[in-house]
Amino acid sequence: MERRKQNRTGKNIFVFLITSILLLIIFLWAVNTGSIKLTALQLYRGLFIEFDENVAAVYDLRFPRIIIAILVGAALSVSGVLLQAVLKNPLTDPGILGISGGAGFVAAIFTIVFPASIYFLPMAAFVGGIAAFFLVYSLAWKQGLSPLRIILVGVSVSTVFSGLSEVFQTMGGQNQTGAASIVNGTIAMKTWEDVKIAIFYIPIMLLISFLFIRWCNLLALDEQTVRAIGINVTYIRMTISIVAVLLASIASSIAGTISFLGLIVPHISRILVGTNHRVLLPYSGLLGATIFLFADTVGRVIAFPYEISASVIMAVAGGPFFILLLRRSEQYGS
Amino acid sequence: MEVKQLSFAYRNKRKRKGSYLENVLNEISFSITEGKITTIIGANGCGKSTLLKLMTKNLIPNHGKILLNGKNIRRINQKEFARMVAVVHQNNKISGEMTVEQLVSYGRTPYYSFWNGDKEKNLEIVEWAMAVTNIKDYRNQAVETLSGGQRQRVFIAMALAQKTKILFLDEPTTYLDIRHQIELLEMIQTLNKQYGITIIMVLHDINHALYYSDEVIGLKEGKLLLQGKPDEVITEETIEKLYDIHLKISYHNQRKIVQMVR
Repeated sequence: MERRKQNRTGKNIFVFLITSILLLIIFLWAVNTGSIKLTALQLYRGLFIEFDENVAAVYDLRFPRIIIAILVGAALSVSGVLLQAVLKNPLTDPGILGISGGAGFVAAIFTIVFPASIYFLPMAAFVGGIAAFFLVYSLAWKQGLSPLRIILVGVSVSTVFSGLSEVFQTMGGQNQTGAASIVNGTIAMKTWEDVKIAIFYIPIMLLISFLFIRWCNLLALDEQTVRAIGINVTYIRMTISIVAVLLASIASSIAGTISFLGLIVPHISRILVGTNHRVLLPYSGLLGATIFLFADTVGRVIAFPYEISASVIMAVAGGPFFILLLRRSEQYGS
Repeated sequence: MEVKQLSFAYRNKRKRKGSYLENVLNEISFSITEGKITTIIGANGCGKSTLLKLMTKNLIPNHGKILLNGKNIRRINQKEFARMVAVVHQNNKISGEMTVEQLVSYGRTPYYSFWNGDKEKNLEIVEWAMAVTNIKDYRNQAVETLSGGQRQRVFIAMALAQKTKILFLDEPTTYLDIRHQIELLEMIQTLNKQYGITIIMVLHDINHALYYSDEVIGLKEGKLLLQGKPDEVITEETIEKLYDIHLKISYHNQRKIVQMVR
């Protein structure tokens, strides 16, 4: 019996290791995609030892989007795990729940109205995200939350918000690149300024989310059982939701609406490392970073010299996956 | 534990706020003797489950109060309450996989603060709870893979890990075959005799109530019909009043047996 437990831990360490190596490989690939090519050694020397023109160019042009892809991927995936735990519904993610749509909408308006206050952008996005979340939550509530109703309401609210975003983008003029990149969900034009925001907010929120691992595990039990062991269920649901919405909103304010990432990653993670959030939550972050960086890099390569945005890649690859999940799950299939 | 003039009605959800359906419980008063096994019996819909929910803070009474050590349970916060009273509900479900040991260890939750907990003591108590309920052999197994009887024992172990003086069980024998029913009730009896845990449970089988409890509380249409030692208060007449059916009582080794057929 003890051995089985050790096997599990061993397997998890192995999965973590493989995914980390994969992330590193994709990272090097992403660095080397485009007109300038660099070897790992060259990169290392150029970054830490001596000035190298090519490395400097890559550093300015490619690094921001790579770092943002990694952080945004992690944030959206962890947000997905948290939301699925809170709603006890494996078919939700920040996109389906309208959080990304609401956050993106407010963020787009904010960049048009206050183009200089970029550092407060995530806060503004959070306001939109939380508003959308509570809107969906209360509209879907009818003596309890039916998983199907929450998806339908979420998709509707989300569509309305993305439509509104388009309206504001068109009204604000096409040259509002900040707003446009949020609406279109592209991270191609990101600079170190954007990285500063992401690197300030996302790691902090990820660490905070790890504080709620125990609560996430408890939510697998019936509500009355959780209450019986002295936990205020409503309170922990609210707290975890707010953290999830914050993560998703920050991600959306930087990278726009990205569908399906927060849905797919937790599912694959559960298959690979099990349902214990102690492992699931950090692993989803790692896998989310890997997959989103992969999507972004594929988008740069697949139609070279044109670029397809990571959100489009996610939408195209994620849609079929979502349908597959719907068909496979006994609960919602009928 | 003392229940004083307790009344409860569910909200009428179809009408506007403040309107209530008919009373489910009507001015019920009784007290639970410490260190005994008390069984609540009565027909379906007589208010047993509602009473249990009220006594475990899952519902708030409209009138009257429930006292625990002289203190109204509404004034006791959830966490503190969970260190005094444990509950095993019916039809416990788990989403996702969870090992037996993991589930039992969640019973220690009321003793955790946000930052730390006495890890060694917690482990020790989890071990004890698993030993008492005899589930150590499958500690690393997923709870969903267990049989009904094993599952029920696991949830009781989780409640035991809370180390409370009072344990509530809502129809613990439902869905179990006769052997597992009796094994479970004997285990509950051991918990009471050996560790002095006050047991309050809802049972459907009158013979089980007769054999395994020190006190019986009988409810009929939201009113308290009887309370006392099972041998004294369970008679052919009271059964007829409680369940609207006439059943014969015979004796075996000078103990009452209710004939469960007409």
